[in-house]
Amino acid sequence: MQWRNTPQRWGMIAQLLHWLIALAVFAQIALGWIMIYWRLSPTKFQLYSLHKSLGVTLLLLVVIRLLWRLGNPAPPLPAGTPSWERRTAFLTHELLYVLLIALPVSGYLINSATNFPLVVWGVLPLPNITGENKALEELAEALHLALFWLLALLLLLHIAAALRHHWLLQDDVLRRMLPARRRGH
Amino acid sequence: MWRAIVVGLLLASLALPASAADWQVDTAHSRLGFVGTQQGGTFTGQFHRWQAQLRFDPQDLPHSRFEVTVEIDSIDTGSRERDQYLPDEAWFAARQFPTATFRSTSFSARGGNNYVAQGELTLRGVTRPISLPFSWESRGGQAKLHAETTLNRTDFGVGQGEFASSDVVGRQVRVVADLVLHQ
Repeated sequence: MQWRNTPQRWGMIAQLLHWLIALAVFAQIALGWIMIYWRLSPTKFQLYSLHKSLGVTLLLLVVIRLLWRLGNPAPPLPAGTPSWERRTAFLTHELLYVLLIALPVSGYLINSATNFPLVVWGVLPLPNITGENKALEELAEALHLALFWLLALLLLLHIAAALRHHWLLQDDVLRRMLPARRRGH
Repeated sequence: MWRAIVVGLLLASLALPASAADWQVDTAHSRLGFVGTQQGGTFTGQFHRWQAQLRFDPQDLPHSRFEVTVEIDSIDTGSRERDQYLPDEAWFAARQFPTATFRSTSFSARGGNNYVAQGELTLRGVTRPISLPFSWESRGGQAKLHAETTLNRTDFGVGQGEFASSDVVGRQVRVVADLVLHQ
């Protein structure tokens, strides 16, 4: 079991964080969409709470992931990758990290400006970072939504690029983010 | 016509003789509020508009009397998002029941500065007896009253249907009144 990254593959920790965060992001998108349209009922409030708890957890995971990455450089792209692809990949990844931080933070801002209590997973109370502020709440909501659309766009690009590497270019850019299969070469 | 009014006023003043125990509320320094819980967190609220007729004399409990009327739509829980739901049918049904009232029926002394007002609270059209413990400090023409009691909101139908459960909003609500009074 290779925990740390190598020049050939992502290590187990980086993979675990990548896929946990991927799962949480898709859950967040689904939850966020469902909770908005749910009729006013206790369930609606519970869906919001779930979205907020998962959001705070996600933020924590992203911070851990970035810290881990500091000591674990990413495996380099295949040697023949054109420089525009390198730049695009670099920018996409940087922007994804930025969004994975900015989305939970803007969500926290909405909650704070609404002045709703936030008890993460029903256990950890978090203080609100602003006072009640309707204008700020609306601004943070608009920001949260805009960041979501940007994230959705970048995720499409990210997934499409991974599949392109796997099926069209037939390199191991996608495979090295998957658990190693025992191969006889 | 005028005579009738004057006579009426005179009769009214006889029926409710001004007493040395009548107190006026200093609204700027008084607060009628509550503490509720929502999804494991607490929030504090208050009513901005309410009137209180208070007659209280520790030496004359039988003639003491509280009558408080609260305008429900003056509720403020520090979150406009939350406040927009509270006048709804599911919560206070403020259109149908615009006010809540408390009327005392009797008083008892509990030693020191502490007293208990027994009375009836009418909230969302439901009237129930409650007891309201309070402390009373008066000096000269000034008095301070601090009252606190815990109500079960569902006793009054605040939170209908699914909202009667404590899943999102706790059933127990602590009502806190801090009044500054003068004569």
